[in-house]
Amino acid sequence: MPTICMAAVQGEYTIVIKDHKFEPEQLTIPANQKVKLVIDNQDSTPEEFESHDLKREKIIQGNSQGTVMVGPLTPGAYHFVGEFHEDTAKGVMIVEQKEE
Amino acid sequence: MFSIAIVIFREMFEIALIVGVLMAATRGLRKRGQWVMVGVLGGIAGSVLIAFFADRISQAAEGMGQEMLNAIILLITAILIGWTVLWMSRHGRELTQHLKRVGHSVVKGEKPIHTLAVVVALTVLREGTEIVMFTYSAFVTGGRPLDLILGFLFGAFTGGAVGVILYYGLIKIPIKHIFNVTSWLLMFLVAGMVSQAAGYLTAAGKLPELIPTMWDTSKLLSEDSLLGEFLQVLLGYAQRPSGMQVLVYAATLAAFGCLVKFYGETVKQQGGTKCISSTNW
Repeated sequence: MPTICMAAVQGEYTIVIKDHKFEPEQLTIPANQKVKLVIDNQDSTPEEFESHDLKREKIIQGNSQGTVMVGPLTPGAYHFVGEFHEDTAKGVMIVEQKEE
Repeated sequence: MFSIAIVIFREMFEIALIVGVLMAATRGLRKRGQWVMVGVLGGIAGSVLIAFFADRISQAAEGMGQEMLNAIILLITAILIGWTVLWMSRHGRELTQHLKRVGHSVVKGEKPIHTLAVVVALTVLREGTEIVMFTYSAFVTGGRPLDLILGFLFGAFTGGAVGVILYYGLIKIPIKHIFNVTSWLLMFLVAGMVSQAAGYLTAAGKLPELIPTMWDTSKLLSEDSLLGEFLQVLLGYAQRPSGMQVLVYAATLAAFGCLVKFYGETVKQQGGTKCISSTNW
């Protein structure tokens, strides 16, 4: 079978924002897969999920959730921040090759 | 105070660069300052409105509403700027002559002047929404109001100053060349906007990346740096563009370049207009 280009979503991960910090701050996802990230902002203030590495930016209102689709990605570390609280809101996504 | 100043500066910087070039590009059009002000005010009102409905927008289009809205705003802005450039390229000679003769605004330009206001409004809208949400967030999180206000003003002022400097820099260009220079600048700016829109559409899952990363110059020139952001706004620089973004950029530039030559030169009644002929106004 040929590999599929526009891969269907193969996993869903939740990142919680609380007290202007990400939880978890480090997240591991498989390589070469399309992944859905649900950013759950539990603070009362809006936050902007931003990552130059992932080429994504998204404002998430206080006490609400936002969806960010990423991938398929090559293995490596992809950093992200909460742009409105860049001192504390930092995280990294580790993309790993899955063992077959 | 500094963190708010930096964020506000970043957003203002982007607005100011675009408005600065537009102001220089439309030199000679009557009352353009007033229309730019109308655009700014409209943009601010729109930002507050969008920030208010941010949650609903976010939920739209299967959670991709924000990406779609950004892409649409960018595309509309690009088309309107493109249209303005075409208009200017057609009337450039006229404008130049008027400017040379009287040295101030005399040309009636009803159509582009309204377009200019809309373009400015959309530009302010795009960055303004972030400013509104960030400022709101900062106030609620309980920074000291004086710090916030000072930070806000400092960021807005310095960001805006960059646009003013750019404008006066461009204005220094001899009248003979100014429309030529600004037209080129705006063409790159438009290509960058369309490419950025393609990035949002990819994020929303509407466009494939083709090649995930064409090159990685993030170590060489980061988009976070001042120069990186400057080039990003004006020329569409991206540190890690996807194949689709590069393709869209090149296609826009080529198509637009041809349009300007073609449409811009029809005034001169030249037979067999070609894309490659040199500009000579």
